[in-house]
Amino acid sequence: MSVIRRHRWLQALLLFGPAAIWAAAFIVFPMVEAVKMSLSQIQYYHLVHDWTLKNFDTFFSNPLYTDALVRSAVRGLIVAAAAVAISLPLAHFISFRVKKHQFVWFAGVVVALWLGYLLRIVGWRILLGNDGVLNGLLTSVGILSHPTKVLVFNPFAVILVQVHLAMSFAFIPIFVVMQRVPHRLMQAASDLGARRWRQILEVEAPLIAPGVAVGFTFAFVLSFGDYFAPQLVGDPGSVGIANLASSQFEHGLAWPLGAAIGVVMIVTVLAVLMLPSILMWAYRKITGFRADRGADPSQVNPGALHEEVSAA
Amino acid sequence: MKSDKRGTSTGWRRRALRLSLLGLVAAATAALLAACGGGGSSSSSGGSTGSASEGGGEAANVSLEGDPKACGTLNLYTWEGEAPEELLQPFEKKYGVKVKPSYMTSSAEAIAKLAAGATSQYDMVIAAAEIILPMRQAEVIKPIDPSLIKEYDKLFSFATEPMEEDGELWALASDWGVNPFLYSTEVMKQEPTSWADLWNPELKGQVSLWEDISLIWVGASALGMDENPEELFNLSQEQLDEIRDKMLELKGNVRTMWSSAGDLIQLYANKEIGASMGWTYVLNELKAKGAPVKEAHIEDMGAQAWTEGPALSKDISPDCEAAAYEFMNYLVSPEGQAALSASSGYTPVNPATKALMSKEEQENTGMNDPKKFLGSAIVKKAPADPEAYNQTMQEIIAGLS
Repeated sequence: MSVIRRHRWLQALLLFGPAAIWAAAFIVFPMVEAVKMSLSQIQYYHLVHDWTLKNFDTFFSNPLYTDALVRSAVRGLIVAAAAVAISLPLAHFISFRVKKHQFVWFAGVVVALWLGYLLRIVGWRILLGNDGVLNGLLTSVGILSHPTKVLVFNPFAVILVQVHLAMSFAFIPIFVVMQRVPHRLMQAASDLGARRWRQILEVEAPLIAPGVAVGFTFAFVLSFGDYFAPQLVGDPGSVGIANLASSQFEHGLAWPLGAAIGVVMIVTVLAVLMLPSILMWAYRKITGFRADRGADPSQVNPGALHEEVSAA
Repeated sequence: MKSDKRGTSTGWRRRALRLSLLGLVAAATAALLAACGGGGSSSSSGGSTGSASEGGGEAANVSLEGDPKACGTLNLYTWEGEAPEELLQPFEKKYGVKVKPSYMTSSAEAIAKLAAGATSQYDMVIAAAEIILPMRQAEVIKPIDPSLIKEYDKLFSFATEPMEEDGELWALASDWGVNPFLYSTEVMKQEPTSWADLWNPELKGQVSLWEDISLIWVGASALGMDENPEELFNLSQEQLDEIRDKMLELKGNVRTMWSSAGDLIQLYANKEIGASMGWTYVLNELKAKGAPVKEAHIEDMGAQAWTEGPALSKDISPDCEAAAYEFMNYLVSPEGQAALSASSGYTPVNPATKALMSKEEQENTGMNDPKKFLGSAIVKKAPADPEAYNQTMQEIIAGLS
């Protein structure tokens, strides 16, 4: 038996070592440094590590920062919801209705990822601008007598652009889980008399829920941390928490405050990610529901299915 | 039992692997932290420890021992439009040293980058008078020996003096200007006469402001605070709050903020805005595109004047320092100044440049009457409390929706 096979710790080292080093170098270490910086101060452009909570106090006591945090979080939820709402029917259509060349349809949705992030935002600015394509079209067909300025440099434009940016990230996990839903299950439900909406709600939805959760999360994180869309297509009030964090480094040289904002952003994202689990835990505590338990036999009506089918 | 043993063995293996992974991550993190060090006031600045109240710096005892040709490439950190080929090529041809420009979008970005260690990346940085003190405090630049600049005594003193602090020269003024009030003649039929014209209700949704501390000077001018120039850089919190409240009255007029020349050029070119703070470089680019944009000559310019020029990075090598002095001498020569001015549209600091400029260029840059061109404008300096000014700037930007 080889040395590697004999020692489990060596197997772990070889399997996980490179990934662990990568994670330590590019995830753990930067986060530790960010937390360390958030507890420091700047004096004459030098970092002084005096372990102070002053930066967090500045953050939470100034509505400039807390409002931006709430604004970014709310915008993130709206963008994530919209991205998932658009991705779901699209993924369903490609998975269940498209018989040939599914990959071409899939590529058509995700091809936007091939273009640069900034390029797509600037593209939207040109599309929606005063001299842009949309205004040109609307004025040429007579819908507008002159170009309108309401299409860009406002919160709606930011959400629109972010939904476009986030859609591919929401679509991919939803499509992947939808591909794994056995078509025969849907067929069986149909044979048993379930209508289309019930097939989707009671058969498909529970199976694709994890993919939807992942897609929602990706879209939320993208929007929440976005810096460019608010700056390039938003009005001054569209400033997000990411813009404020960046501004501390770009304009204010208040790096510790910028780091503190970054730490708060990370905690916020983690809280949002954990929210479904927390809600589920609370639901189980309150209702006593256990997913691993079957139905109470004394409560089951063996004839219920027959009655339902007859009624349908 | 076999299945129990298999189940136990699987569970043990998973636990072992999990623990190993955690251990590896912890060990790698500890190693990295130990390698990079921590604590102390110098860990992130790269500079020396101890008091940095006035920035310190080396004694001005530079001798050009290096060989400019051995430098190879001179890395220049500058603004867009200030390193045109017409300026760099003659120098590169004569000295065999390539000048490689990189562009900054704000002075604070430049200081942050240099303080974070970019002093080894850049040999020279174009520093405005308003960032000389912060750069000294961050210990990222070294003094310049004016005796090695042949034409130093001939340059405009109102441009060179703001670059001197504590008896030493920290940057060599190579151009100066006044950040103008730009406006579209299609939107504003009459030329504005004051910054207060930005508050005109007719400019609803037509204004763009620079995402920079300069917007505080606009508010200060609108409130008449620039009658005492020195006070502008030492405003109290009450005065900053007053400026903030005044600027927030622009709500509704401000459509968007701009942060780079390209951004502002696009806004005007696409007719998104009709009035803004601006740069002369932007005006020249828009004129070249035929855009109906002009510069307003207003009485209350306030702290919108600036002077700038190359400063030496503290980590510049002796060879590149020699090359840098050659470049600086070339830059302030009439030929260099004419090339720089032709590209940037900014005003030269060498009066002899006038002879090499066309009448139109003289008028556009104010070289036909520099004192008149400067007018009431005040050369910007670093504020005494940059944190308070930055906070006010951010409150203004966030409140202008």
